[in-house]
Amino acid sequence: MTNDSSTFACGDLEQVLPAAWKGELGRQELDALEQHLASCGQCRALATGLEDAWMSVGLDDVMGPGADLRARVMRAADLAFHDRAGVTPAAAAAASPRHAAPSSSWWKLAAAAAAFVVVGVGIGRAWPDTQLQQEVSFLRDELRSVRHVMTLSLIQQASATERLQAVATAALIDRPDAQVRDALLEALAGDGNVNVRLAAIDALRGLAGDPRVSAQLIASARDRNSPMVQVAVIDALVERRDRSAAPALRAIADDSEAATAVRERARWAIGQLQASAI
Amino acid sequence: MFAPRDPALEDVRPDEALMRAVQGGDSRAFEGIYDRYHRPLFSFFVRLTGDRPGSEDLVQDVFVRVLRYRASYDPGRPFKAWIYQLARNAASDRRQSRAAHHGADALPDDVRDPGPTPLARVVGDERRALVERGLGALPDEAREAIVLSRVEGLSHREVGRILGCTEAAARVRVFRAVQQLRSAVERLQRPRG
Repeated sequence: MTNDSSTFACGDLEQVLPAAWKGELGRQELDALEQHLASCGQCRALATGLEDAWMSVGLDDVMGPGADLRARVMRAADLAFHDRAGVTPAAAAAASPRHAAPSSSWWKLAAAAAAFVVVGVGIGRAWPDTQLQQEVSFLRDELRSVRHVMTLSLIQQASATERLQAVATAALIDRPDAQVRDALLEALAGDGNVNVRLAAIDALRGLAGDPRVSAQLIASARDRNSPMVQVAVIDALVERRDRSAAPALRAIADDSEAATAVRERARWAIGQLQASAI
Repeated sequence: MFAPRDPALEDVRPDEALMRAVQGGDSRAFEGIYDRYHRPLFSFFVRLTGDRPGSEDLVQDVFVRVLRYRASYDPGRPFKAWIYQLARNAASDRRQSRAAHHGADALPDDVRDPGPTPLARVVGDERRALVERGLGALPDEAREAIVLSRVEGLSHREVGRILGCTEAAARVRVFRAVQQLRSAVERLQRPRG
């Protein structure tokens, strides 16, 4: 773009016109544009047509969101503010689903879980202590089993919300079995929704020392498709004090194509792992 | 943690100061950010996707991300560009998710071409409805450029920050997007033969 009308070229229009529409041009630049348009019929026709298209994009205020959005966001935020206390993004997202009616599979499984709790309370009131302990233990195992089924069922769903629910449920399982672990690893490796991948990272926190988890975390740390996931994975590796990740972290820190924030986080993580080794 | 909103206590601090307070765990500051940005973000998503209920979910997603990634925000950089980058990522993730599960062609027709809105039909504003349909038919990048610059009223410098390019490149993107819009509207106006 030039300020000199005598050197204003037709190709300058694509720089100057949008600035003119938004009042971003100085007096001199505007004069140069007007002089050029006065002398060039082709540019004048183009500018008129495009300005018409620009002006025709409605500025009407879109009617605001539903009244419940604020409450939903604040509920989710309330949980997210407690993230350090172990509340996952998945839990935050699942805490305020937009649709009140759950899917039928979720509903049936949740009902089954609730039924176990009710049965447990009934047994607790009626049976002697030793039998009670055995039954509580049995019910815990059953509940764990229900959570496993819920996770594996929901994680296959097409809806990201349901997959988030699945991962949030998995995070509640104290000892996820290999199937659940593999489902979480699969979600981390390739789910199309970043939130699901982030939630999977949180849900995998309970599997400290599992070499498959470490391997997938390290692989995901190198996946440049989502810097957010990379940063979260790097944090998880630091939390696990996983020193086997150091070479990968160094590679990320030196990767000129990685996002700056990711490279910085990798450098920070290397420092943290070194400090934890002392 | 979150008390009912009191308009009299509206926070007048700049966005960046509010976000710094959010980084320190100040939930009131977060509410201030929500109050400032939820409508522009909702409008951004509605214009971008033509899907109002989905846009509410996207707004919620953005604010969860604000908290999730609050530590990565640099208060020395403009907050507006940062939150719109989160918004673009949220929209992009949703597109990818839909494409992954249903195939790219399975995007609902009303997202690609939202058709005249009820309001436009009621007031008989055919031209506006046509432009909305043209906007809906544009590639995502072109639609984003127009929505940010024209509808959201952001400067080209701000648009450049959000799109990850220079101010000059942002102007060119807007120019070309408007060219595409014009062509799309002309196509829609042609009688179908």
